[in-house]
Amino acid sequence: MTKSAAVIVGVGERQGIGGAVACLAAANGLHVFVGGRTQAKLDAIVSEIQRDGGKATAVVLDCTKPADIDRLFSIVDKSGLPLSLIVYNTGRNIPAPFLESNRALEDGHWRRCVYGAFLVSQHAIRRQLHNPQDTAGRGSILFTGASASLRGKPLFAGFSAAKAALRAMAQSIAREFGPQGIHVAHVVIDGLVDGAIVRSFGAGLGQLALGRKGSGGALLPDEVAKSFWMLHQQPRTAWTHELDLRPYKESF
Amino acid sequence: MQNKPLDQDKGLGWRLLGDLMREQLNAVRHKQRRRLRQALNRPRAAVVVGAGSPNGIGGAVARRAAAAGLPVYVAGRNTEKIQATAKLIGDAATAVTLDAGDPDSIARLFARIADDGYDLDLVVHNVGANLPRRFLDITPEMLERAWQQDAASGFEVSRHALKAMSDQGFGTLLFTGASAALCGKAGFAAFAQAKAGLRMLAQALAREFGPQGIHVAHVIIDGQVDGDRLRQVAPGFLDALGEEGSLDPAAIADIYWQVHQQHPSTWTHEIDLRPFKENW
Repeated sequence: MTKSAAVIVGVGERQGIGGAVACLAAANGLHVFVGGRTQAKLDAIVSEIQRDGGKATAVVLDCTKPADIDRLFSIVDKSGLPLSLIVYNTGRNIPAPFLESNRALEDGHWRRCVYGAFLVSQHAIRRQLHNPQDTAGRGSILFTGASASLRGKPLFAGFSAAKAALRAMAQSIAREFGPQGIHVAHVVIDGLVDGAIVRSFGAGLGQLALGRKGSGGALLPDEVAKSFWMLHQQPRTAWTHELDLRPYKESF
Repeated sequence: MQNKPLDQDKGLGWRLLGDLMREQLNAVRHKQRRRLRQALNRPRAAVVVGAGSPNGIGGAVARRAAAAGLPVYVAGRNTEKIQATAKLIGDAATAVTLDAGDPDSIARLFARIADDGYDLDLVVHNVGANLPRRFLDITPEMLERAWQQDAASGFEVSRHALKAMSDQGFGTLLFTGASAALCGKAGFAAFAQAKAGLRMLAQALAREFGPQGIHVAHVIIDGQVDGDRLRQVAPGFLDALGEEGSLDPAAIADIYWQVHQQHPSTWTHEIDLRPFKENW
């Protein structure tokens, strides 16, 4: 019996963090609203969830468009379910030497990582504040971060600026709404994710990078999802705000 | 460019390879240009982007650089204020009205300095306005403005400054940061995201351009600045902090100058500054 809803923004292939979190949330009885850019990818995840007896709805959206985010939440509202879990999982790590970078590229990073997160958070908080508070609080908002959120490295000026901005905003939201019962957490993914994005990264660079990491050297999306779920389950007397995840042999 | 999403998965790898190759080629060109440029032995200037009144961080840094004998470009939004600063400094100063949120305006500043025949010795990015607000009261426009003003302007200034400095083979680029860059407090979401973004930009640039002899540093101002901005808005607030309870712009400017003067074997990337009795 589905009692509440989860919204996962930034869902692509099943083999990715967004897809894995969506499936896990659905397996735990949430009606999952998956938001992403590509209809076909979302459909694949929805049909997998439904096959396994869960509930899911696909919403094609561009996370940087306020109208799309409005539409997503109005679809959620129509279900009448209280919103217990939000995961904001967008952002694309596009490396570029700084002097070859440009404003459009940097702006794109900011819009995907921060602006979209802002739009989603405001919608989510406005709804979650009406949820009844139990020992787990009123609900969770989880953000996917990166090691770039903590460290600016060459080639990643635009991406790390945006990810660091997201991290600061997540902190600010956590401090403001934690006392009101909303659990806000930031997950730092430090390492290569063994998912569809990396595997298909052009010019064979993704496969090359995965190969160099060796066996067990990259994060598995389904395992990452378990940590997201763990955060969502935490009782409000012991909340994590920031969690870092890396493969055992990643140097850091 | 808006209609063609930049984040489509196809071609990313090839684009990166292309960028890296272009960068290598440009590095060769930079090396050639550097030799020519050094032969020119052009005079050096300091640039302060975001200089307001004489008694603020920007104004004080401009005065400090001028005191050390550098011609100074004092760039800011408020023409009246930057002219007052330039007047106080004297002949060494040039006031340039600039809107940090407008990339063209930043491009014009650097084009003008190049036309005037100066190499860039010191460039300071000192832009930012902190307006606390409850998260649900922030509009998307406010968030975007905060990013454009504080962080995107940092990208623009860096792009122009580093292009020139890369040719020169020397130069210092300093960013004024805030404690919000390290910690997003309740009520400061818009300011904190922009300042945290700027800080990470500074780090990435320091790691990328440090080996070329370009010093990039980030100064964290943790406390209230006893400058004209706050004096006018809330003088009582400064008085309440007590004697030396707020940062003195001239003292901050001395630190900027010291960081600029550091020997390449001993560079600071990040330095935090706060009054002795600040609670932190």
